[in-house]
Amino acid sequence: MKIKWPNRHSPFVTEACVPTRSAEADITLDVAQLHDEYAEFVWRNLQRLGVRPSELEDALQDVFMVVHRRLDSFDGSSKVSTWLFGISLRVASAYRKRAFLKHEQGSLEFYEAVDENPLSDPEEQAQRREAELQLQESLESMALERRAVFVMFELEGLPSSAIADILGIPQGTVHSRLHKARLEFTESIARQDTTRKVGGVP
Amino acid sequence: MTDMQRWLDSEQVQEDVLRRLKAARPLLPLDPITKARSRRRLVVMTAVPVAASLMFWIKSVALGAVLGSAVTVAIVVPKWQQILRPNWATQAVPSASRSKVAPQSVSAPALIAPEESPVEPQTAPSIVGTAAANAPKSAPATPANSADPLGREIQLLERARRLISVDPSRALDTLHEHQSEFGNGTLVLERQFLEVEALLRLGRRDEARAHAAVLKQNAPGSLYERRLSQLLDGTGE
Repeated sequence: MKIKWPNRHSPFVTEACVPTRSAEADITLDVAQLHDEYAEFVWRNLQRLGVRPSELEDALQDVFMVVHRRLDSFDGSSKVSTWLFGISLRVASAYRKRAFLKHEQGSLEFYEAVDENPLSDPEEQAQRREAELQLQESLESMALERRAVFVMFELEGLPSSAIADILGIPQGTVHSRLHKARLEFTESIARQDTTRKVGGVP
Repeated sequence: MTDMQRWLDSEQVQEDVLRRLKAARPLLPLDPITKARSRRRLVVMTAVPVAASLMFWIKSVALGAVLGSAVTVAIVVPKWQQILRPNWATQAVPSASRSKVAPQSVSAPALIAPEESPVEPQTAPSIVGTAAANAPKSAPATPANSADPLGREIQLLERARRLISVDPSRALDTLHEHQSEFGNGTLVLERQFLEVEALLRLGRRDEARAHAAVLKQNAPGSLYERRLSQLLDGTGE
């Protein structure tokens, strides 16, 4: 399935909407080309949205299958990356629901999948691991849109303008989401501390 | 618009928060092998709907052709069988004698679907027993039928079935002919049922009941039981 990109007849298409590679007139895109170009972008965003490492490849596949089905409905009124992020968001949401229904512990799997440095101090390793799990738990408690903004800004250090560009939203919305995400994060940490105290963990 | 300050760069953030943020791992990169594999799978999966729809189209056409052929065979073959088969069952019966026979509430089911007039032209053989011998003159398909025992059984029973309403005694003769030719043939139960019906028509009720008892014994729980009950008692039981 192929589309003509950019759609010159659309009043919403401006030069800013068109990806750099598509500055040439009427480049025909198909799903394989989009995959070549945006696979890394989707891959990163799926992680930001909390898809577990073991499911990343499947989720990536799912995103591009949706792209394949919806390609002719994409009119170029937004950036391809924004469109892809929207699809990634829905796919990640489906994975999250599925994991929830299966009572899967994504955070545990995530960090067990990554090798620890065997040379570091075991106690330090344990503390780090615990902090990682708590971070993951806090992120899991956030809505996906806010989680993505929080991860991009706080953990990856992307400027809010770049985040706004990726998500296709105004910078003010990024700030608003970040503010709410920070509140949720802090509340989550407070809950974790309370639970730890009640449970008798030092 | 001025950007917000990251928590990691701020000094006013709680230690607990910082500890967790610092524990974050970098995102996993997409390695070229995974990317190539994903692309390959994607190309295959996007090609599948086209192939699948083509396959379903071919399958549906093939299925339609097979069903069409089956229906055509089912419609045409019986008609040709009727045309080729000699008209065994039609017998010359005077209209006066036919009018004497009261219609029976339950008749034996047709072995060959279409109903034909029981009245046969005068040129047809008058003796049923010699019908087979005379048949080749009137119908060239008879040798083929006689080569097929089941076809011959069907012919005899169908002839008997048609005769029951007009001439039960000849129907009974035909049934005896069947018995002598085939004994416990494939359609023995049908013959026994027709015998019961013919005997009833002849008013030989006791004999009919005896035959019915034998048939019930031979085929307990079969559909014949119910039909026999209807014949003998006029009830559903």
